[in-house]
Amino acid sequence: MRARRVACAAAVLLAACESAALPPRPNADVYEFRLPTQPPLVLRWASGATVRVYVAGGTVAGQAAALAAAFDQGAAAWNQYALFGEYRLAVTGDLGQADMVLRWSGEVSPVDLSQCLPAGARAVTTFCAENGDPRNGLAVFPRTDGSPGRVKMVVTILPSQLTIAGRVPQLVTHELGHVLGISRHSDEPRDLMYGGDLSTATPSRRDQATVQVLYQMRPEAVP
Amino acid sequence: MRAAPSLFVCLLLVSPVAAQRLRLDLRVAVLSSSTLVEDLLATPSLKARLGAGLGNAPGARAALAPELSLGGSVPLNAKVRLSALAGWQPTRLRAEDSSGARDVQDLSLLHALLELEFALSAPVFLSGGVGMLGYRSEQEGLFAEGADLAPLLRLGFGARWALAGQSVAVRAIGDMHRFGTPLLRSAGGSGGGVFRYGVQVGVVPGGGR
Repeated sequence: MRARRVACAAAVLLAACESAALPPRPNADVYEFRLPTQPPLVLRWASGATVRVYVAGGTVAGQAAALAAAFDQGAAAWNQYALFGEYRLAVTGDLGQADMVLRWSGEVSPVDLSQCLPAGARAVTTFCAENGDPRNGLAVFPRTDGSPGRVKMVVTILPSQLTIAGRVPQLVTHELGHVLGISRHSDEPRDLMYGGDLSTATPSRRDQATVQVLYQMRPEAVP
Repeated sequence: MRAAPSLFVCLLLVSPVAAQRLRLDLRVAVLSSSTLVEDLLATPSLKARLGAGLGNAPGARAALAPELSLGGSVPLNAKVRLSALAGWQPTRLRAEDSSGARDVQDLSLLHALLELEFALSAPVFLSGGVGMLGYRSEQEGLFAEGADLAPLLRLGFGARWALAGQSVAVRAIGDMHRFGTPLLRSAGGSGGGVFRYGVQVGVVPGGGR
């Protein structure tokens, strides 16, 4: 009986010694996120990076506010899963400090897109590899005013999507997933990173797991 | 958090003699913490799929920081001293993973402690205390939904001297509590034990006379 009590006490102490833990993600919860190159590459920002986003809302009344609100929603949606400070999406009003530009298609772009053209339907994230190889980093989009800059990604949204309630936040949040480094689409319609019609503006459990695992992978290409 | 000081006040009320001997008790410590939470990250099958590119599981702890405590202390007899303290440790949540360590967000640890100190052969003493501890931080990340209040157990070993009319104590301290947050639970995780250890210097003004 005494030995049993000692064993129980030891078990309680050992259990108490274990740190709090987040559970391991199963294989099925993490979809392919690597850049579809040969071989596939892990493209992501350096750990602990703040990705500064310049929101170019344009000149049409209401559109600027809609884009800014969509960015705030999307950034908050992704930032909450960086539990260990792996990344942070933040807005900046200084184009010279921006890593990414969020803009409406059809509006004048603050960066020159001629060498790296956006090509997509409703929304697209555009970047071009330096010298054709992402392992060299991404090319900087020159500023149209000739000032120095560091923008390496441009997210372009089609303004007609404003006519569909809730669509712009969905698209922006989805594209921010690509900006963070989820370079592929999920095949699960309930995921935010689904490649077809979106049904949510919130990262799913699989989206969360994927971005969290992505940021514990050693980056093979850093913007 | 109020339980320990309340008990202390009750003791003083039932013992007027003890109330007359009540002294201010000021303490400063430097405390290091074990890991608060780790992310087990990947199942074996996911690890096998991702290969060597997957780094070590990340973890986070409270960064090494000073702790300030303030309260009251009263000798119950020649060998035993009772203290009630409220403490504050302003620190940072520090994450560590394969890419290194980085500060994530501000963090404050607040505690209330009721402690008994037993004199051994002068000037050496042992102490033991119980109380409650809570974490306060910005409402984001691990603390997006707050944090649990947890019982605290603290043990100490040190020496006390009378210096210029003050009672000065230096002690090695170690304590234990359980850490958990609603976010951890909603993510399917579990709470776990946290150990802290450090060195504490305390002064009881007028306690050395």
